[in-house]
Amino acid sequence: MADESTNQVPLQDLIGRVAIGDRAAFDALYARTSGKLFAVILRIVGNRAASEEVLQESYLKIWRNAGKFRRMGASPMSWLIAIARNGAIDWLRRNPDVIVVDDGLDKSIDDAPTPEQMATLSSDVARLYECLDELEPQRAQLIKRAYFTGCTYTELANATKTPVGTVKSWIRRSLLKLRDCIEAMPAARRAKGDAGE
Amino acid sequence: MSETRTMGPDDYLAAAEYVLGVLEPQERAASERRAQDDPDFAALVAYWEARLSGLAAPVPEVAPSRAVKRSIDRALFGPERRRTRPIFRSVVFWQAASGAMASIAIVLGLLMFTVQERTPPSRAFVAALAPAETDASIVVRIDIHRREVKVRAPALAEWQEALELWLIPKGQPPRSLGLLRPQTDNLLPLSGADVSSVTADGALAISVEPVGGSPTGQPTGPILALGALQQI
Repeated sequence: MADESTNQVPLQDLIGRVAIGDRAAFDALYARTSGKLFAVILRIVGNRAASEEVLQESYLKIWRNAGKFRRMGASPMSWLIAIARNGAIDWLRRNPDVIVVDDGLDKSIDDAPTPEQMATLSSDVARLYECLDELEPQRAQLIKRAYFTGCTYTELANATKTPVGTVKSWIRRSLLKLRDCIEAMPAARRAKGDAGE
Repeated sequence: MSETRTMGPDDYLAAAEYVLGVLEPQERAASERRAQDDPDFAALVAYWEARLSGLAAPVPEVAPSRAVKRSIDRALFGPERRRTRPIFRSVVFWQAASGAMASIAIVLGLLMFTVQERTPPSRAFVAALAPAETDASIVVRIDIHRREVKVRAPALAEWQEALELWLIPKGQPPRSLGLLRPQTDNLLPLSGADVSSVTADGALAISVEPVGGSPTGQPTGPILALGALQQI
């Protein structure tokens, strides 16, 4: 395995140990990942108390479903993030009356990896950002906004004062472009300077 | 990755929209059911989850309140699990409970560390730290004369996180003895300031900390192991 993935190895192992009921591993997994999952949930849900509820539900799911992790073949972090985001989006759909204050969301949309972060990111993540850069800035922005707010097409249309049909086709076209771009760059190894292998 | 032979562009999009979270509640519920029933569609969902999760990479972490972990533990393991949190307050309990471990520690400590050492053992202390939920044991020997702390922990050889060793003098807050490397044997220097804090009624603990060690100077992560000090 390449250096860049050593971070993932212990998380995978921890999830494997959680799957067989190892509480110490669960504690360690929580210590390692709860800050990131909470940040992601907080951006979607918008309020701390509800976010903590969603975070709790997420870790209950993680404990119960850890055995399914390997079968899915996902990276540990994306598996964990997916559980957290799904919980947050479901919460949002169950609480349609809650108005998420847009404050802070813009900040999250502008998040881009710093050069130092970029150096530590996996090649998959680096590739995603390269491909986002190939989209028109507003389209890339819209994808990020959707990802970090959990807003529906309708909500995004209202927020951006754009017809729903337009928002839909923008996002769909961007997603397909993203996929094509990601698939078109097979290894992205050279960017990491992986000369030895 | 695995080919999804029967899946076309519409399926890719449906999976992407589901993962992105832009679907209305009913469509979302339908996609969720589909992901459960249709492995090919589930694979597409996993594909997009993996790709888009990269967006979260630059998001700075936010610490949830400590109550969250407590209620997770309560929900999963029942109320007795709460003891792990206020663990430092129950050091006395642990000292009593680990009396047996301590005698093992003396034997192990002598076997492991003094056999190959010629220097006459001056003041030395050992502790056997019992990691929670496992039967692996960690043996720590503190040599006051040499000002060094030896940690033998086969179980930690594969551990990839920052683990910090703490000295807990009786009735005082924990003092960091340093970070443990993921290897069987660790040798840490014992600072002069800590010497007087090493007493037979103290305890040692290992906690999981952020990379680089606890930012606060006190244990912040879960306690992995705890044990009473014993003079030899």
